[in-house]
Amino acid sequence: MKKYIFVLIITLVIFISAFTASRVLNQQKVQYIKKSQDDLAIDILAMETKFALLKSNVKCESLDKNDFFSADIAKIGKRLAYLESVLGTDNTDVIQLKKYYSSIQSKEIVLITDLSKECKNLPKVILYFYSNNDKDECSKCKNEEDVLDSISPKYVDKIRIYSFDFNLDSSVINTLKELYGVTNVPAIVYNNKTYNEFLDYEALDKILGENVKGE
Amino acid sequence: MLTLDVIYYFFVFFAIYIQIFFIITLFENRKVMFKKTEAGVLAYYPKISIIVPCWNEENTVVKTINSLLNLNYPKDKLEILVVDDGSTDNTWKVLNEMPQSPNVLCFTKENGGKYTALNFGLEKMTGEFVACLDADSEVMPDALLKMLPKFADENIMAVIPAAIVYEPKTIVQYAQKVEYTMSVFFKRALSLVDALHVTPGTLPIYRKEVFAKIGNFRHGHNGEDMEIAFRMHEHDMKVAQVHDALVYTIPPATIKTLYKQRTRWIGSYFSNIIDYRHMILNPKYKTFAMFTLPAGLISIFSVIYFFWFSFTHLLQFLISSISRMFVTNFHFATNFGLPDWFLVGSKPLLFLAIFAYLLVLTCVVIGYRMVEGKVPWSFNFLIFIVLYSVIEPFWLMKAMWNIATKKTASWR
Repeated sequence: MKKYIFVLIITLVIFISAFTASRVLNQQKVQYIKKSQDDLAIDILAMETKFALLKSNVKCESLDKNDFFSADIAKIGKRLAYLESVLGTDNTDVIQLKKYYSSIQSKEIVLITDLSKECKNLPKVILYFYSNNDKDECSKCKNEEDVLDSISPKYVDKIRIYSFDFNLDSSVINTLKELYGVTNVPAIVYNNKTYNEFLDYEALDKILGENVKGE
Repeated sequence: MLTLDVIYYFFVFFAIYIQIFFIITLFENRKVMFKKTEAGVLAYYPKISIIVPCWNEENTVVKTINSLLNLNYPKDKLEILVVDDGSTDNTWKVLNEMPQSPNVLCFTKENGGKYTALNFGLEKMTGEFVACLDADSEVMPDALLKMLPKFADENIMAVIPAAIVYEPKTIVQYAQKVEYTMSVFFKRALSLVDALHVTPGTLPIYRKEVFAKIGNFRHGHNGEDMEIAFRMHEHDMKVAQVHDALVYTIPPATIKTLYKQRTRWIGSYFSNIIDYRHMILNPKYKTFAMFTLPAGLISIFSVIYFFWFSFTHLLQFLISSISRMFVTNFHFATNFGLPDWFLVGSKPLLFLAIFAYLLVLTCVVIGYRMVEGKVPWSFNFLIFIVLYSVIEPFWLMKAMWNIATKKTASWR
């Protein structure tokens, strides 16, 4: 009898260790994202300040896309989505990180939009609204994300995609929703037009192609 | 999805519990666990009758008999009873053509199944001990001398050797060699806690009284070697194992024949557990009832569940991949370079699965230390783990299906 209990205790210790390791690792990942978001926010703030100082003296040709638009923002988005799938949509850390992420994205959007008035060589902004609360609410979101993922290589340096959780209780997102008339998901905002519907590859390609060609 | 995870944790908990149980047993007995058995000189050489049941074994039976004739044991104390169970090939002809030996008696009877051939042998035998050997196996010369000293303990009613794969040739046989070697450790651990569930047809030795007390072999759902062991535990008879008394056996060479063999084994294992269900978790029957039987049941269902769990996840992945192809009109997101380390799983489920596999590997290593005294690290360990992970669930499911639909698996 003693042996059975002893084996049980060892097995329990292994289980608790696995759960603890997982917790610690996920906590590390949360911290890691927080850190990368902080870095990104500082970069954007620096850019904003720089262009605010320069005002209309911005030299468009000197804008280096690589140091201006950090590729990190998309990467962080992917990592955040992964963390959300592991920790759950209700997780307070996840919600906070997402709010932070939405604000950073919005700041970058504002910056690009302002600079685009002066410079024509900047990428165009795509806003994408999704939901992952409930499968039924947005059965097409997964498909829309696949379409966006597969189309972005074709328009590399021509477009920047920013994604927002439709249901996240954030004043930034609510403002964007109001501003562009986003009423349901999936929704795409591009070139001041709002598409409150699923756009397949061909449809999206057509919309993007027209504008890109026009330049 | 959450409930699926909970069931997964339930099974993985017991899977790890079972492995830890074996390893703790090893620690408890670490002084004797790996000890080499001396093939000693006996004070007294009892007469031993070895029954060799055969059915269509024309290719291997002579080798089997020759290996018995080469045993280090006084020839006048050895009686070999070859029982041809109505073979339809040349087995009987081969038996008559082989050189005559006063120790070897050959019989032929109408086909009735392996247990009837064994019982036929029991009727004819005159020894104090009875051993059985399948006609596709070969014994090492010192096997009897290593096993017999165990009977010094009056409570031990049967002793089994370690079955090892003979000169593997195909990948499937190499994988089985790893499995057989690992299972030497499991059987050793079970024997040390008096909970061994099988006396396989690779030269188990029984005291003659066993059959007088509890009766002859039974059909046992084509698993007479398990049924007799179950029945012995029911009557509080102990079974011991000698881990370095080796008997070589030729296992199935192809996946198809392995699948058939295992479907039969698992089918009879499960059916016998059902027949002896009154013993499960009954403290009267000790470790056999408290550990061996429940562990056997849980192992079967957990392997099936893990497979099903992985299968549904794989299926989901495939469906979403295909749907992605169609929805993006076959434009793929090109993603070269290393995958993002951040996206590597950190669920406890993954850690536990890796841990469980490491435990299996540990048991393989212990098995090799036991049998060969050293660990020949080889690619075969990986082949074993991969092959068995993929195909074992299929024979388990087939066996369960056969029982559910009341079909009995064919012998060959």
